[in-house]
Amino acid sequence: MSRFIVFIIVLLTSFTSVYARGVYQEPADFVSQAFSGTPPQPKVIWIKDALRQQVEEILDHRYESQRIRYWQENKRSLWILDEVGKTKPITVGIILNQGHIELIKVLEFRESRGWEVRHAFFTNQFIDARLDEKNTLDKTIDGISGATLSVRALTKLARIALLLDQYNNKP
Amino acid sequence: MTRHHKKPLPFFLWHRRLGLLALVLLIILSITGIMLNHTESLELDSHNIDNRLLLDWYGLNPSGEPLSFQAGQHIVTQWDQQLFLNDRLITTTHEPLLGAINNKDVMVILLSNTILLLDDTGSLIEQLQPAFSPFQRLGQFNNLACIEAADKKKYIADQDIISWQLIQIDKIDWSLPTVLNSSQKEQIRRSYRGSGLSLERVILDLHSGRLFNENWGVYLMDASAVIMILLGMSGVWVWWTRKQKIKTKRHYQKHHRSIT
Repeated sequence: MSRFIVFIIVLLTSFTSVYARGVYQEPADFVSQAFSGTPPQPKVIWIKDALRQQVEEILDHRYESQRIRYWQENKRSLWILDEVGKTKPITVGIILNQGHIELIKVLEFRESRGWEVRHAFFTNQFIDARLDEKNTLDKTIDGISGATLSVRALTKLARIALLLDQYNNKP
Repeated sequence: MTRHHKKPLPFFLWHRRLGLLALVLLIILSITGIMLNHTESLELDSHNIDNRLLLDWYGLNPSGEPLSFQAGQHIVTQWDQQLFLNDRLITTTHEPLLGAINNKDVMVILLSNTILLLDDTGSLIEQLQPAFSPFQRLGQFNNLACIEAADKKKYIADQDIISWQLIQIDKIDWSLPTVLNSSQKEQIRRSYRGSGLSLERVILDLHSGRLFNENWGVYLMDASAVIMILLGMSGVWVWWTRKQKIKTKRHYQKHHRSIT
């Protein structure tokens, strides 16, 4: 009987992790929805020199691309960024408004563990977060046990989006 | 009625069989062991293997034929899921290569669902996955990059390849595959193999058994080591029993002679 219960638990957890992987929202739909169906033309920011150094300091590894695209309307900007959780990239959409996070959403999750970061109970913690002078978030983000690397990836991406937005709006 | 009982095999015959069984593996173990003890003097790590069979066994030979596109001065090639700019490996992808063009200083490489933008040195500028993927082919119109999607709709990029607009034109100069000459092909093949396969790697894998199979090869060599231990023990046993038999025989002969 106990073997049967263990089998059922293993079966259910494996289904959950497989089910949790996938595209939750297409990036194009996220952009369109964020700007009420009429998104502005995308722009790009070049990642070089001091900015690259800061981005790589946050990521703690080399950043491959030379430019990142974003969408901006007035003081509101939208960023779609990728970062590897454990082995595969997590695609995250981040909307910033006047230097703070308005919304952060996991658009695609490819890993088999740590998918809990897609839930609102976690992502809501980022709302209104800003960047302090050390390029860290001014809010504490509580982790999720068993999803440490995914939590770390999302936190890094939030910091990078805020950093890039800050760089763009520098007088 | 007579009953034939199968006579149990004498112990020394088991010893012999075990020895024969392990002989080949023991020879391999011993020779490779000696070679590995002298890796530096034999310069095993500086000898590269060029044997096609071995390279295939290690998966170091690309399968199929390369697919190449000319992009300005450069050639973009996909061979067995690896993507090369000239003879330099850029990335590994399971997406098929559909075309490559040079747009001013930016190289545009089209995969089935992804657009790669590279600079002249081959460094990644950006990786795009626009909403109109999957794609069909890549081309140029008035020095602007154009893509035909799988649904036959055509899109044109702006000068900086940031956004794409739907267009309806037919005079697009499509990127077409090009054939590599033998030396270009050989250069890419060399690049595919990377630093190649050293003799030391092969000897190490032969010694550990991983050359035979990644999963059970090690156990095969473990088994030969266990057999070697058993051989030692059975050898001592055979020697001891024989010694005892000879002793008994001599004693009997001596005793028998004294009676007669």
